[in-house]
Amino acid sequence: MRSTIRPLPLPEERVYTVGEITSAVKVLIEEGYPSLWVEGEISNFTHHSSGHMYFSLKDEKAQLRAVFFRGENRLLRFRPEDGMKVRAHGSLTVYEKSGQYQLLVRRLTPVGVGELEMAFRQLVERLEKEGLFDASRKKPLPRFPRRVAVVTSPTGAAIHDIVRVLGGRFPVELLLYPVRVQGEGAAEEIAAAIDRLNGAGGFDLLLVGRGGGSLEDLWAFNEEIVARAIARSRIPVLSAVGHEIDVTIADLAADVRAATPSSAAEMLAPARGEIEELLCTRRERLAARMRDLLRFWKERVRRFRESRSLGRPESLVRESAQRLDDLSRRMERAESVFLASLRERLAGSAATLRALDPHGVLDRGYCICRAGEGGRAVTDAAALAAGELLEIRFRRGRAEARTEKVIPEAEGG
Amino acid sequence: MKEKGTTVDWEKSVARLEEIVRSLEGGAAGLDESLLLFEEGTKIVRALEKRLEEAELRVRKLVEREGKLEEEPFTEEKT
Repeated sequence: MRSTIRPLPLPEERVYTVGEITSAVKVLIEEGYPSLWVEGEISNFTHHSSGHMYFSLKDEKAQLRAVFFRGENRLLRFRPEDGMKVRAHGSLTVYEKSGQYQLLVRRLTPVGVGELEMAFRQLVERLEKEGLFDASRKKPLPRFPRRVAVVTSPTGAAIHDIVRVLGGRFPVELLLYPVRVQGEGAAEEIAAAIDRLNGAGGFDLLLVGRGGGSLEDLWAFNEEIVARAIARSRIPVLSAVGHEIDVTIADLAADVRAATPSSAAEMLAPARGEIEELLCTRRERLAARMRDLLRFWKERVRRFRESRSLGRPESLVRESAQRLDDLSRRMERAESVFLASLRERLAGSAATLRALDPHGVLDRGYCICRAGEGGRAVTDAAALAAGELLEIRFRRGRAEARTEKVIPEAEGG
Repeated sequence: MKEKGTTVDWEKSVARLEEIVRSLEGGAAGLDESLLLFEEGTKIVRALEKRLEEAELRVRKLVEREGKLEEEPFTEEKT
């Protein structure tokens, strides 16, 4: 009997170490999938304090871990959230220490909606929830701003349009604060400009904007930093970004939104014609009122004189002779001041004559008659001769006439 | 450097003008007071009309110099 413990036979295949096999898998995976797009739903998303993003992409069948390092995710415009459907571009890597494979993400885009659009929606929602766009926060624009600061590009279409439109309007002092309006760092410049102008003070209005462009071009005006700078501005902000259809977050945060830089210029200053009209009607109302007053007082004086001359005391008007003279004098002064101011304003037209007449006589059908060399107004018919040439001026237009017959004023006529 | 014209406070002047017109039309003022209001109102209108005539749009550029915001002439450049 031969009983010997025979050693186990040696395995036919090779025995790997953990390191070796993992290494082999790493090569297989990393060289097999160096660059690819993967679509899935985000879950377990964390944005680490280091700046790195960790999450999983999943679908009904499986799950894939993913990492999006700070260096790459820095450029991300929107915020990834659990449940969001995305497409990730990157490469598969194997992390030996943990024996895990994952997707090293280099780019992330939302599915179904543009990246910028997604970012826009997210920011609008967030800021709206904070109340940044509330109507109650909006300040009114000053009616007649004196110093207006414009935050825009010094070479862009915006400043050009603004200067052009303002030229024909109410004069203001326009101060340009030049900034970049697109590209990296533009949003920071715009926000800093708004803060700086608030700090410096002395401006009645801030105009913030730029000319038209793509969503990408206008993007600086959709950035949170600009929205917040506008919201905290104590000086009223008028936004004017792009064309009519472009509504940016800056527009939502501003106190007033103009569709374009040109319309902003129209909004901030009234047209000269408007102002002239305003002044003209005010002037006319002042004059009309003075006219009425003078008429009233003249009548009063006249009635009193009448009542005194008839020896009947006017019970309603108990003024002494002194007061009567006083009154006359004051009224004459008022009248002469009134006439002087009107004469000064209007010269040499039929309107002048009408306006100079405090009683609106021409309006009521009376006319002014002039005769002889020098065309002095005729007040006494006796000064005329039959056959004399007259110029009769009506409220509108005039006529040349010849005197047929003169009828001087008779006693008591 | 500010021109004299630019110191006219439009906002205040127009407000005062409208106040005067309202008072005068309100009829509460006597003859003397009315006259004074009329004179003041007319003066304001004249000043504003003059300002409107003589003023032009002033455009300047802001630059940062040693921590202060200063003004410089601005000419539009073509891109």
